[in-house]
Amino acid sequence: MKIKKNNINIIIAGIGGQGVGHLSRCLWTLVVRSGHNVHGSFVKGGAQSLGSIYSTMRIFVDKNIQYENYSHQILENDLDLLIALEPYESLRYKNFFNDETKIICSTNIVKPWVGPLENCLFEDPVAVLFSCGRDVIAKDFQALAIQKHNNVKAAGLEMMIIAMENNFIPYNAKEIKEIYWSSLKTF
Amino acid sequence: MMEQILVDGNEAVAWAAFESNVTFLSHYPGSPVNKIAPKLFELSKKFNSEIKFNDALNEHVATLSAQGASLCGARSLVVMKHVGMNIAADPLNYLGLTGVVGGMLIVVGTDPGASCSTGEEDPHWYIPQLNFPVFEPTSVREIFELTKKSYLLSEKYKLPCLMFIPASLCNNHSTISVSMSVSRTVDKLPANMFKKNFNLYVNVGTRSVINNKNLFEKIWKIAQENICAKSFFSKNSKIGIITRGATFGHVFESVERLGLYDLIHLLNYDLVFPLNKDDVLDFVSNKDEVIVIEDQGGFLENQIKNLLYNHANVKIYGKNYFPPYGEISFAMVYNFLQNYFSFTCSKNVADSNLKFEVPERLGVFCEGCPHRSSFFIIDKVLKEHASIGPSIIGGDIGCSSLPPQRADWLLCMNAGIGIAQGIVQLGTEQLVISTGGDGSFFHGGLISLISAVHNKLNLLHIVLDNEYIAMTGHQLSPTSKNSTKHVKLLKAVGVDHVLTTNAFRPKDYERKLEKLIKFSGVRVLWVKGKCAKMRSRKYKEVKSLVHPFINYKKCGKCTICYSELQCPAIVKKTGNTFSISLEQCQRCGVCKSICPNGAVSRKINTKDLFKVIFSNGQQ
Repeated sequence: MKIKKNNINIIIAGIGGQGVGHLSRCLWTLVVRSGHNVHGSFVKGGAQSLGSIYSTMRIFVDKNIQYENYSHQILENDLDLLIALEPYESLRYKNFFNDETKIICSTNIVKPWVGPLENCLFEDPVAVLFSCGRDVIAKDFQALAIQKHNNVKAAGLEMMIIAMENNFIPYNAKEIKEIYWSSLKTF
Repeated sequence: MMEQILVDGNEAVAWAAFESNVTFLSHYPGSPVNKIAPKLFELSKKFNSEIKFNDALNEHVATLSAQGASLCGARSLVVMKHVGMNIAADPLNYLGLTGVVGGMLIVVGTDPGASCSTGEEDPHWYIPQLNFPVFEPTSVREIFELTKKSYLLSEKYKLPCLMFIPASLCNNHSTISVSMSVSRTVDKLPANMFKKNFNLYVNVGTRSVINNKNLFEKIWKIAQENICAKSFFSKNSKIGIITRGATFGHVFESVERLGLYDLIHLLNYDLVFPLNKDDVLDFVSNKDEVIVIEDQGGFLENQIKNLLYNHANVKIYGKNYFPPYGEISFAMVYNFLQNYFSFTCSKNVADSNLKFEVPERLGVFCEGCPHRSSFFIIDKVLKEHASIGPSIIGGDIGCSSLPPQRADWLLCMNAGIGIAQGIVQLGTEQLVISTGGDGSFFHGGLISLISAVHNKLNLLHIVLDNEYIAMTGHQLSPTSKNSTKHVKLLKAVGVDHVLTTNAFRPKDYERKLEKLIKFSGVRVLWVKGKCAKMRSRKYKEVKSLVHPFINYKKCGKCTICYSELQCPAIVKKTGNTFSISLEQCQRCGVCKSICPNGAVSRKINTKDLFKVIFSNGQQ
C-alpha cells in the first residue's frame, strides 16, 4: 500500500536551557507568516534545565488540507529534518529517521547525567550519528553562535539558517533571523 | 479589527476566557496548564481590564474562591493539573449541588504518559460523581472555541463545566482570530451581588438529597439538548471508531494515509459527558463493530457500553486493544489499523546502523540550584548516622525532587512530611528526615506540620525555600518577597525547634542539621536559597567577573564535587581530572566550600567587580 504524505516533518531537539522552545516558536511564526499551516507539540518534561526537550512540527504547505484534524505526532521513519542542539539528543530520535532524513547537529556534547551507569555513554556520540548513514551536517554551532552573536543560545538560529540555505525547508533565512532577534523578549 | 495570532493551548484558553468576559481567575500552578494564568494576566494588563486574580495556595482554595465569584454573578475560571483535582475534590462535589450564577469553567491539564508530572492519573473517573458537562478539544483552535462555548452552557444550565486538555495539546500551536482593537469592557462587579439562596447553598439534610436529584435532572437535560460531536468518512461503514481528545487526530490521519475512507465511520465527541443516548444509538445502528480509541482508562468506552446495554446489538471494543496507561500514540493507532484491516504493508526493515540504546537523561538540579547543596549535605549527615541503620529521606513534589535518586519516595504533594509521620510514629530507630519546597509547604505542608505538633511527634522536616514555585514557571510563593515570617509562624503553631540556614553556606547548614537531629520533638530546618533561574541582572554581571577553577596541584581526585555534589558545571576530563565550565557555572561557591583539599579557587576581576557592585548605589 502506498502511504500518502503531504507535509514536512521536523523535530527540534536539545536539552533544557538551549532555547529549543524559542527556536520552535520562531519557526512556527515564520511558517504561519508564509501562509502555511503548522501542527505539532513541544515536550519539555518537568525540569527547568538539562533534561531532554523536543518539539515536533508538521508543516502543511497546501492550505486546503484540514491540518488540525491530523496527528500532532510524527510516525517512525517519517522524519524529514532533525535539528539537534546536542549529539545525544540527535541519536534519541533515530527511530524516526528514514533514508531521506536530513540531520543538522551541533557537536557540542552535554553528557547525560546517568549516575553510576557511565558505561552506557558513547565514547563519541557524533561518530555514532555519522555511522547511522544519513545526510548529516555537524559542527560546533554553539561556538559559532558565541563567535557571531556572543550568545550561545543563538546556536539554534545558525542551524535553522543552514537548513534554509540547503533548501531542507522552504523558508528564507533572513526572515527567521528577523523573527528570532525581534522575539527574544516577547516569546 | 480581527487579527490572526499564533497561540499555544494555554494561550488559547486565556484568549477565549478574556473574550468571554471572565472576571475572576483562580489557580494553583501545575504543568501542563501553568501558562494560562500568566497569559490572562498579560491580556488583562494590556487591555486594562478588571480581572481579579487569585493565586491560590492549593486547588481546594482555588475552586472555592471561583465558586464564590460565580455565585456573585461573575464569570470565573479555575485552572489546575490532573492531580490537583484530588485536592479540589471536596468542593467540586458540592459545586453541582449549589450550581453557579456566573458561568464557571474548570480547566484541568491531563498528562497521559506523565511527560511533565509525577503520575498520569486519569481524572475522568471523577466525572460520574461530579456530574458536570465535560469538554475535550481535539486541537488548539477547538480549545479556543470550546472555552467560549462552555461559558454559555454553564450559564444556561447553572452548572460549572470541566475541560480536560492533555499536555500534547497544551503545548501545540495554532492560529486563532482575535480582536485587537475593540476596547473590552469587562463589567466591574457591583457591590453585594451575592444573592442568598438558602435551599441551594445550605446543603444539609433533605435539601442535599433534593439538590442531588436536581443535579441528575440537569445532566439528563443537558444530554437531551446538546450534542457536540463531529463525524467523518463513511456513514455506511460497518466499522465505527469513536474518539475523544488527542486520539482523534491519530485516527483521522491514519485513516487518510491508509486510504480507509470507505471502511470506517469516525465519530469524535467534544462534549464527552453527558452523552446523548439517541445519538450514540444512531451512530451504532448500522455497525457490526465499534472501537473506542481514547487515552488512559476507558471512560468513553464504559459510558457507551452503559448507554447501549440491552439497546443495541453491536460489539464495542476499546481497552482490549489499547492500554489504559501511557499516551496512545499515532504509531499505535496507525499500526493497529494496519493490522486490523490486514494490510500487508512493507514493514520497515530494522536498520542495523540504528541498533543502539541512547541513555536517558536522569533529572538533575540546575547549575547553581540551592537544592543540590541541600541534598549533598543531607546525604553527608545521614551517612554519618548510618550506624543506626539506613536513614530515610522523605521527598516531595517540585524542583527538589528532580534527581529521583536523592529521596526515598516521590509521590504526591506533601508526601515527604506526611509519610514520615507514620514512620516516626512506629518508633523506628532509623533517622527520618522529611523534605519539601516552600510551594508544597504552603499547599498543605503547614497543616501536616501542625498535625505533627498536635500528635507530639518526633519529626524533623526541612523546608527548601527557593522563594518561588519554580518548577511550573516561577509563580510567586508566600516567601517570594520575604513577606512570610517563617520563624514566628512555626513557633506560633507549636513547632519545638526552628532553625534557619542558607543552602549556599554548607558548613552552617551541616552544623544546624546536626543540632536538630540531636533534639527531639517537631523540628524544622528552614533553608533559604534563591532559585538559580531567578538571580538578578546584577548577580549575572558579577558572575562574569568571577572565574572559578580547579587547582590541579591541590586536587586529590576524591571526586566529591563531581560524583556527590553532581554539579553539571564540573566537567570530567581524561585521566580522572576535572574542570569547571565557566559557561555553566553559576558561581554559587558550593564546590569551593565542600572541597576537602581546598582545590577550588577563583580569579576575580576586582576593579570591575567593585564598579558593578556599587553601580547605581546598590549592592
